[in-house]
Amino acid sequence: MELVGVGTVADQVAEGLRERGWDVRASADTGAGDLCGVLVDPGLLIPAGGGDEAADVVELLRGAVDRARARFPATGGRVVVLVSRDLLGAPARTAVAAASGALVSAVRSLALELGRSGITVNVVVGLTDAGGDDQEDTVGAHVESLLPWDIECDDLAAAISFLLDERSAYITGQVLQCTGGASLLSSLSA
Amino acid sequence: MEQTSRVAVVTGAGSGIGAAIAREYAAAGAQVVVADLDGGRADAVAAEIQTAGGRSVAVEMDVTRREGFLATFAAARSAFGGVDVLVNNAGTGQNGGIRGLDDQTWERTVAINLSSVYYGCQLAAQEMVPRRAGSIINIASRAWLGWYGQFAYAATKGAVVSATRSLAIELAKYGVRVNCIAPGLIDTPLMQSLDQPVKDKLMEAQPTGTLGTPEDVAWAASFLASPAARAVTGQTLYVCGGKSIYARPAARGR
Ligand SMILES: NC(=O)c1ccc[n+]([C@@H]2O[C@H](COP(=O)([O-])OP(=O)(O)OC[C@H]3O[C@@H](n4cnc5c(N)ncnc54)[C@H](O)[C@@H]3O)[C@@H](O)[C@H]2O)c1
Repeated sequence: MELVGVGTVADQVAEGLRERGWDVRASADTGAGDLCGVLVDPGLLIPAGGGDEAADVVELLRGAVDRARARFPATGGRVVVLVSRDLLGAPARTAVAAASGALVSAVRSLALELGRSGITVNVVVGLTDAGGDDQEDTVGAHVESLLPWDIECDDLAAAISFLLDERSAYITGQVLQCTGGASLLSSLSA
Repeated sequence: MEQTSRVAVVTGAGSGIGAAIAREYAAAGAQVVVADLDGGRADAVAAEIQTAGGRSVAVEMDVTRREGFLATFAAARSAFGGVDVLVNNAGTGQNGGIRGLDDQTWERTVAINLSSVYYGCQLAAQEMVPRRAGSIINIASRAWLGWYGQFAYAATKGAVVSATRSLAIELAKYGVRVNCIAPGLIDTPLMQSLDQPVKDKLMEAQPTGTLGTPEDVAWAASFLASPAARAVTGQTLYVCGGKSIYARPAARGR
């Protein structure tokens, strides 16, 4: 089950996917033969702080999908994009919010465009740590998750793995919130 | 997905989507209470699970009555020791414009699609909160977004979505997750009974060009009940072939 990661796939997410049986490769241009899926992670859960997050993410996605299509078998494939809960609106993080929102709209458009080809395109939403600097802890959700446990990178990997599965063929254009309920109470989350 | 040593109650599990969820859970190692108004169908599904090596009991019950749920939870406790997962799946469709909608159909739709979710969620919360664990899955419908001739159906399913969100917020701190699935077109006896031209039109509006299966929904229900969905609560998971992105309405004047 070869999976290509595009962008800045965090080590723990890649590790979680490997534990679930995915052969995670770094880029879509390398390798030949059938490809099962693509994980596009523009790094929005670990914002660089430079403010240019919105600039190239849609191009990154489009490029990844175009390259992957050449290697998906005739029956289709899976694309999963990792974005930030900031898409619901996040004060002082307009760039991450805008990039995430843009990707959701792009995913919905691609899902319509590619629907007949058996390719599904979906979004997994994680929490961006407001604290910023500590890379180890950036996906942690101590503040926002409503559940009594922390949201880990491995939880994102579990959700991504679900959407990558061949049995998820009838799920496309969707946004799966892995935020422990922190996305509720927003009109954009239903 | 892994459901080992869990006890799941599935309502409306004698047919269609509910039966597929019951089979899926049992195959993944759960002990399943197959609850349905039609006792014969419930028995048949439970027997099928047992034949396949799974553990299951059948309960004849009515989701529109609190007693139905009390009996079902009692059966779950005595057979398997409790309830870890509740799937409120039993539901009914309503089709026809509001001018022809009668009070009986309205009340029946509210009772089966919504009161059922109230009784089920309340009993499940009482069972799960003290144990600080559990997963509730309500089967809504993509139709909650609105569709022709679905006044009662869409209203009750929309209420299921909002009830799910409220309960997710209320129970999160106890470690109980509450989610809903919004299926689109699924190949069940209901779909099969439609005329071919109607079916063709519906298929045309499908971004994937395919019809979903009860197993597609069961797969999603399996994820939501499993530890893989540990970060997921209050979610509306659409299993609809992309139709929830946008469905082209019929021409004006329909
Ligand atoms: N089939 C679809 O395309 C579709 C689409 C969206 C949502 N849904 C929803 O999925 C759920 C299951 O639908 P299905 O297509 O599998 O239906 P179905 O008719 O095949 O099965 C429904 C089952 O519920 C049982 N039931 C009905 N009333 C009951 C009551 N009062 N108490 C207990 N059991 C009762 C029936 O006996 C039957 O076994 C429903 O909530 C429906 O609204 C279905």
